[in-house]
Amino acid sequence: MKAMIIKDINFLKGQKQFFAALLFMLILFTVVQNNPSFSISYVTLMFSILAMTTMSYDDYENGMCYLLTLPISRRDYVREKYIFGILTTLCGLAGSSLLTALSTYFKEGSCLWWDEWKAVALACIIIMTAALAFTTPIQLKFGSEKSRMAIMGVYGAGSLAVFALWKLGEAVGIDPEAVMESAFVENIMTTVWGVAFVCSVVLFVSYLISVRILEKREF
Amino acid sequence: MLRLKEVKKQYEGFGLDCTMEVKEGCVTGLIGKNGAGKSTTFKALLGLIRTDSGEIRIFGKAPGEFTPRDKERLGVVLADSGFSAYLSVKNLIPMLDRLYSNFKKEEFIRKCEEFELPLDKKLKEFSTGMRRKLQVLAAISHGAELLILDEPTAGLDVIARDELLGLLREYMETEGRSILISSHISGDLEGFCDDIYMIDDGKIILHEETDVLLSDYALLKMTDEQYHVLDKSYILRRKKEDFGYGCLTDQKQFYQENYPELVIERGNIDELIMMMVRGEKL
Repeated sequence: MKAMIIKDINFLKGQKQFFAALLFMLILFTVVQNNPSFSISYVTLMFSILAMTTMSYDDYENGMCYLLTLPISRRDYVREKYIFGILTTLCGLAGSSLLTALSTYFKEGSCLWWDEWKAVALACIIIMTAALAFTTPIQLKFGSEKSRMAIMGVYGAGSLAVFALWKLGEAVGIDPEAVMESAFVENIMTTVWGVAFVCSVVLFVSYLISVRILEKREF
Repeated sequence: MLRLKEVKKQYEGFGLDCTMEVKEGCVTGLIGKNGAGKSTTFKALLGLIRTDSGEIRIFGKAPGEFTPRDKERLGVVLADSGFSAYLSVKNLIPMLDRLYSNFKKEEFIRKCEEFELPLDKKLKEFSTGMRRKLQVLAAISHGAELLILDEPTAGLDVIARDELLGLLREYMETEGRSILISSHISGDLEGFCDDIYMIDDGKIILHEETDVLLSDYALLKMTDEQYHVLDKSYILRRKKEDFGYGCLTDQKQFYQENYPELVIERGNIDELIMMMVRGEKL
C-alpha cells in the first residue's frame, strides 16, 4: 500500500500550478477578503477533490488494468484510496488552518476565531466524508467522467440538504443558529465524537462497497 | 509453470476457448491476427477478467488465489495498458522499489539510460515504443520467474526490437525462468520461441515446437492436375489459387520425396498463419 501512496504523492507533486493557485486563493480570501473560514473550507475541499482525482490518473488510458497486475491486491488499492483521501484532506485542513491562523495573527495580533474554526473543520470533514464515500464507489464502477458528476451532485445535494434543514427548523420554530451554537460551542466534544463516529461508519460501509465493486470489475 | 485448460469466456460476438501450457525454462509464443483472442487470453490468466469455465494455474495457483507475494514472481507487459502517463520514470522507481522485494534499482536505472529513456519526463511525452521498452525493463527488473508479455515489441523499430529481444534472451539465461509472449510480428517469435501456439477466433488452431514448424511445415504449390493426384494425408489446409492450389503440410519430407515435381516452399510463420486462418480444412 505504501507504494500506491508514493505513486499518488508523485501525482500531486505534478500539480504545482494547482497548489500555487490554491495558495493565491487562500491569501486572497484571508488577507484581502478577511474571510478565514471560507479560506479553510475552500482549500480543504480542493485537497479532498485532488485526492479523488488520483483515481482518474490511475484509470487514464486503461492504466488500472496494468496497475492490478503489480503486486497489490484490489482490496489494498481501495484501502489506499480511502486512507490517501483522508490524509490529504486532513493535510489541507491543517495547512490552510495554520496559514490562516498565522496571517490573522500578524494582521490582527490574535486568533480569536477558535470556535468558528471548530465548526468549519467539522463541516469540512463531513463534506469530505460524503464526497469520498459517494464518489469512490461510483468512480470505481463507472469511471472518472461519471464520478465528476457525482461529486457535483454530492456537493449540490449537501448544500440543498443544509438549506432545507435550516428552513425546516425555522418553519417548526427551531432556531438553527441556536442549534449550531449548541452543537459547535456548548456541546462541541459531543458533536466531535458524534461526527467522528458517523463519518467512520459511512466511510467503512463505502469502503466495503468499493472493495466489492473492484473485485468484481473486469478489464 | 502456466496452464490453461479449456478456459472459456463468452462475449457478444466473440468466444474464447483456450488450452495451452508454458513449461519451465521455455519461451512460448502466442500468435494470431488482431482480435484473435491473444489479449483476452492474457487478461484471463492474469485474473483481469473472470472466465466462464475451465482451469487456469500459474505456479499451481488460480489467478484469484494470487497474493501480492505471488505477483512478485511475475513480470507483465500488456498491449493496451501501462504505467500512468502522468508519472515519470523517476516517480516509478520508489514505487517499484516498494512493490518488489527484489527490485534491482541500479540495474533498472542503467538499463533505462542505455535504452535512452529520460528519467525526468512524464510518460505522456514518451512514444509508444519508449513506453513499451519501459514496461519490459520494469518486468525484468525484479527477478520474476515468469514473464507474461502481450505485444512487447509493438511500436518498436527493428533495432529497438532486436535490443529488447536481446534483453529477454539475457533474462532466459537464468535457469527456471519462462516467458509467454505474443506478437503480431512473427519474425520476433521465429527466432526466439521454443514453441508456438496459434490462436484464431478465440480458439487454439495450432501448437507446435518452433523447430518443427520451421523444418517440417511447408507450402506446396501445384496445378489442378497435380492436386487431384496428390496424397492428401498430410495436408492441413488448402487454398485455391490462380495457378491451381496452395497447400500447407506438416510433412515436408514426404512430399519432397514422393512429389519432386511440386514447388515446395519453406513457409515463414506469417504464411503459415495465413494458410491456417484463410485456408480450407480438408
